[in-house]
Amino acid sequence: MIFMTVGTQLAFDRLVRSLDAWVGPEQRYPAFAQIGRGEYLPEHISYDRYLDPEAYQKYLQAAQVVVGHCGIGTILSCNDQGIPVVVVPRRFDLGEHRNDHQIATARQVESRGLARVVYDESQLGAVLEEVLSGEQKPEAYHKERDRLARNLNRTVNRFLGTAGELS
Amino acid sequence: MTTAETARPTTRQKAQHLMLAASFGGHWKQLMVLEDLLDQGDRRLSFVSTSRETPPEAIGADYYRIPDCNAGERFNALRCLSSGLGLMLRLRPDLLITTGALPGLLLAVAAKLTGTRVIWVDSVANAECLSTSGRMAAKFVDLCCTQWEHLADNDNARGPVYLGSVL
Repeated sequence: MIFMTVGTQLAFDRLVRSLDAWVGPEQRYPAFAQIGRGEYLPEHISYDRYLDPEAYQKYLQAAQVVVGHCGIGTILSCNDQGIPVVVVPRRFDLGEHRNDHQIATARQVESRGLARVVYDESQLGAVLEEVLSGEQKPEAYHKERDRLARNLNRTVNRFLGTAGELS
Repeated sequence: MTTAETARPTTRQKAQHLMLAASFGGHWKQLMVLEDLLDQGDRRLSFVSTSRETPPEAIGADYYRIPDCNAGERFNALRCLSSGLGLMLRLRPDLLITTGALPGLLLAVAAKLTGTRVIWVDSVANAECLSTSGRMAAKFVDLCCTQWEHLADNDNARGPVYLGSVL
């Protein structure tokens, strides 16, 4: 199944509407959507406004692909569990967020291969078909994490007075 | 005999207490990556977030909830700050690490008021400038970290410094 999540803070009707349209009355693919405070209610897929952490995890594990806004939480959760993730960044000019930071984030996660990014929602269906037909699972590689681990530990040790030089 | 036993000066030091805090969602997800990267040694860890239910990653650990708040919600912000102050006075951690957002900032204020040092790790979602909370935190925390190399100010000892990134 496809699991869609828009996060807990803001509505994202543009995304919900495009997945709903793609699934359509013919039920092209089973899907479930978490739609937050959106006004648009899907006609062809089942949905809930919010999910508790346990239910969220259940849907993640059942998903062949996750569709989301370009939120770090969604992307990291999918990366950690090896689930393909397709994201649509929220746009400031459409009133979908306070600024365009999701577009900046999208470029970064895309260049690191951490998510498939769809900037134009009319392309969502095509990308989903491609991802769902793909055999290979994504191998997310967080290249800056080793550096963070080294530096963070060194910093914490310095603060707590348990120094010891780390390389 | 018993008196002598208890009166004997102890040579073992109290375990250092490291507190990790973030509002629930993407900030929490990033915090959990940091937790994963930290050498825990024999430190005591506690977790603070805004989720009513204990997040899956904190089940069985020391978890505390503070009220959620967003920019503009003055009443909720006050509730969050006073709850944070109570927590700090009760737990007296040696170091607080937070990834934000506003609840993390208010907890950082509470920490500094009660003598706990603070490391702020700004959310990776802010690739173009520090988050609003991060810009405020930079003025008073002991170390402010950005997850974007181009946002670092290496001439300023308190940061923002670049240590690496969860991505």
